[in-house]
Amino acid sequence: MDIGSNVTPAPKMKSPTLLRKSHRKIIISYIILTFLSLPLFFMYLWLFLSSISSEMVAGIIPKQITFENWRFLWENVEVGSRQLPSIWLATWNTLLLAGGLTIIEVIISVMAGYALSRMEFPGRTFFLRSVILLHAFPSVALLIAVFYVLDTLGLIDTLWGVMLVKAALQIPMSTYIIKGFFDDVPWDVEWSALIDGCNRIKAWYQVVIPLVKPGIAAISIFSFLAGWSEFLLLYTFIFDDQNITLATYLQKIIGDFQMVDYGLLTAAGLFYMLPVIFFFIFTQKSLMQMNMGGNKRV
Amino acid sequence: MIDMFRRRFISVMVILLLIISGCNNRQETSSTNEAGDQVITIRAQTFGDEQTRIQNLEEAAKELNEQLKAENKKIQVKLETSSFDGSWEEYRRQFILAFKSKNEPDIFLTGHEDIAWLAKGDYILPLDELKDSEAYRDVYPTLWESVTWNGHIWGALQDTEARPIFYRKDVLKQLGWTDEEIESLPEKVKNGEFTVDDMTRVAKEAIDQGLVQWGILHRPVNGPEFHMIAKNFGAQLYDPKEDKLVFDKEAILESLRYFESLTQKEKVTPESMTSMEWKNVHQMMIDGKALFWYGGIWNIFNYMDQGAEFDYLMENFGFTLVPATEKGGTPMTLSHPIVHTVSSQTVHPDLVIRLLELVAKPEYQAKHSVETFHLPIHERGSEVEQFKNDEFLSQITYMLDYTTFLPNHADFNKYGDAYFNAIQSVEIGKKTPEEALKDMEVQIQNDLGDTIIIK
Amino acid sequence: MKKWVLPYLMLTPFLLLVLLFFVTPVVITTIMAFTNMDYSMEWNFIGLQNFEKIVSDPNFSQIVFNTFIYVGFTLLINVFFALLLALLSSYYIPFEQSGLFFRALWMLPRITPPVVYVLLWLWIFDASEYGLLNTLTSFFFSNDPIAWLIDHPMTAIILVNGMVGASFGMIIFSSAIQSIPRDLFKAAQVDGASEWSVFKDIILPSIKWPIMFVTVWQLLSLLTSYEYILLLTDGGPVFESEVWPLYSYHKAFKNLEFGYGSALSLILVIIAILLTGVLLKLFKFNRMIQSSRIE
Repeated sequence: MDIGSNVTPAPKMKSPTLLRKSHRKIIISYIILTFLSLPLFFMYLWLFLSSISSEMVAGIIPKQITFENWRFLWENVEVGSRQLPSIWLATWNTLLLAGGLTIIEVIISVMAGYALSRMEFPGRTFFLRSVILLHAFPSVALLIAVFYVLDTLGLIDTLWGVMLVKAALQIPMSTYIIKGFFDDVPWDVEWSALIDGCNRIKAWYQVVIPLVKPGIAAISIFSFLAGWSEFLLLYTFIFDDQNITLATYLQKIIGDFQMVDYGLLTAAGLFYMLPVIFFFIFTQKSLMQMNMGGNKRV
Repeated sequence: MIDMFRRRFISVMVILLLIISGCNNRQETSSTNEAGDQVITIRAQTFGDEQTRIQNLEEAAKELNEQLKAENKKIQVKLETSSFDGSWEEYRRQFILAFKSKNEPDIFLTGHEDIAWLAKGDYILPLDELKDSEAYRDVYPTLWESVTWNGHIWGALQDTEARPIFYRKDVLKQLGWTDEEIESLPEKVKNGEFTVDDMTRVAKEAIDQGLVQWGILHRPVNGPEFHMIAKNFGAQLYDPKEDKLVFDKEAILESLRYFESLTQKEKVTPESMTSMEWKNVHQMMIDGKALFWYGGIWNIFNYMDQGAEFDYLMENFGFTLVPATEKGGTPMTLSHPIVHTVSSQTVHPDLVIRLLELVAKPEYQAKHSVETFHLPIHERGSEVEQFKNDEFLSQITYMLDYTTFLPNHADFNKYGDAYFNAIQSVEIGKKTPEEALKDMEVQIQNDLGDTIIIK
Repeated sequence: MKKWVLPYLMLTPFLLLVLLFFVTPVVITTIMAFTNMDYSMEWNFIGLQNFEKIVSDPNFSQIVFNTFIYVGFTLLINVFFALLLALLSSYYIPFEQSGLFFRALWMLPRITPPVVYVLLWLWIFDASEYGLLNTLTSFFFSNDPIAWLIDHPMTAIILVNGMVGASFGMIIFSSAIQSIPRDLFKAAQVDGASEWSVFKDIILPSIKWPIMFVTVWQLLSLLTSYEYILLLTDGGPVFESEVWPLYSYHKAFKNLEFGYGSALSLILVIIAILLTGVLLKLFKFNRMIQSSRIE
């Protein structure tokens, strides 16, 4: 049973020759990786530098450090001559959307994933196939039709509406992921719980769920990130400034590309990204344990 | 234990149902205030950076409320405004979707060429009474043409402008022009003595002498200026009698050859003109790195937003009509009036129209024009002191005598896209003007079918 | 009989959302594909006219060609570059912290909000002298500013999308590689096995399924995604970087030809479904979706 113990063990002591050989290998790997990552590094360095400087020399070297670009934190920014709503309202809405999406998505996909992984019922294969097929659906093409549905439900121009649509687009993927985790839980574990006198629900709830916690963490992270970065749906289905999110806030700074304030935009962009980066760094471990239907016992 | 599962399951379903039934129907348009008056909410959607478009509506709403009070109507109006930032395409799409979910604004500010499809799709009300109304009596007569479709008036004019050529006086001076020559350029253009070809020639000279990096710049994205250039080459775009668009092959070919000469032959315009960013294009003009600019008067407002001083701009820039294509020809420009339209679903059309009459007040017109570099829609507006004192705008106003408009046709956007694609492929050197014209013909035939006359 | 009740109960919320936001919209889209619905949003049925229009559309061949190039090359980056990153960061570099650092770095494009991510690239590719690439080239080669997005639009969209997609494969391949018992590598080292044979005999078997999974998944995503292209080049210049799903979007939301746009996407949907079917068969996907339960 190697569940949950997939994390790389620290390299143990090796014999001197092997050590030297692998050292060379490691150093070369570092060089290649660093070289490959340089452009990426500079892109984000520019993002950071541009956000704290008033002017750039040669495109990337700051001339003067300023916090003026971050003024949206303590005042309502004016772009051109129009005033933007508070960034804190946008942050709160984004958080609401991402959080709500996560809860809905996790609950639905854990239930569906377990049923698909462990239960025999007519149509199961059909469901599994459609999970893959659903992902293939060009959601773009569905936007106008989705509008009709949201309108009928009275959910146009609400964050709830966007949340549900986004959840629908995401659950095939997260169900598939979590199903992989359920597949990895040995049947004996559940079986022995059943023998111990639990019924199926209790076995599921008390024994199986704790074992797939890494999977739940993984889909939570995925759905949170997806909700946090969502742009297109918000842009299409939300009209009210009260429902502004960080993505649409940024869009407002860009405006019609007539006058892009790179300083302000990069600062706001960085503000938008910071929580995601921290969130990612602290949850990276559980992401790494994700198997996603890869190396599994069939 | 099954119960436990059921409880969880039921709670999930309840949450879902709550979410789904969280209805958001059309907001209440009326309520009652403390004074016992009925309060009616009117929503107005404006476009762009120009705050005066909102401020003037708000002032007008105040005035309307005073009038209503004086009339003892027991009604008060509450104005809710919002300003859209983004492309026109997104703006149109949002309005359609909002309209279909009955969430649209009562007043929708848009470019005049949108009225055709808005009217055809039953989105907006005809506003014929405005033509006879006191507030709009002295509107410049040509402007009415821009809000007329199918014999009716569909929009309340908000503002207009002109699209002059901007030229750098300092560069011309370095080229050896005398002050007198520089100042009289607009006059020469007016008399048809200075043509489009002369403009290209001067631009070329300036580049050859290393005074500027580029000679002539035009807008980087699709827009009315391109049709202005086509019209300058004599293109007919629209047949109002049949309400059909016109594909004037000969003139369009001429205009495509012009773009070819700018970018490929004389190389006075960058090949990549259509992929540049507004900000950078503006910056090149501000920094004097280019000589001529197919601009619009509000660009002064944009330049100042990018940090240029007004006095510096006035000192270094001159403005002229778009020169004629042949010696002795007539110069021209194009205006793109922005108009208020009224949703056909509005509950209080009478109040909305009263508001639109109030917002056409000369003082508001003058204030908006001066602050955002537009032109008033009527004569009284241009007689207000504030406007008269503005030297820049006053010297531009004559251009309205030479102005033209985009056609009001429901499918004009499709035609515009096809034309822009043709221009782009010529400019980047992918196609010759002849090839581009041929492809454009196939394209518009496919897109527009029999709603276009090919001539 | 009773055995079915529980699984279906557990699937109900899933099915409800799918019904609301997939099945219903698909039905609506399919119907719409046979109408000439435009800005007036009226359902006028016109039979197969939309599909005839697609065939006679002068941009048809270029868009199909672009779609192939875009999907093919981006997929290569998404799989092979991702594999390279995963191998380097989780096999060749055995220190978890450094591997994690590089992987986090490569996750950045994916977690960066699309608007910001594309803006970074717009600044890099900017055609004027103020753009990054032009600053660099004029510094090193002192040549004139190059209009990157006009001269190389396909390269640009492939690069931009490839970098976003690479992280997906990287994460999945890394976790698969990390779950290989380290003892196997040690044993191979002691036996003096070559790098190639370590890769072929130990790593490859354990990432065979993940590679297939990523290929299928990304292929389908790429066929139907357009957001980054929309923000970067908007399909331009002219139709140089226009791909099928973007064309459908443009037709529907730019030209407001909802009927024609739906017809275009309906074809795409059918292609996507057929392709999925073929791949499922080809890779014996049935084995993967079998129940892990032994009753």
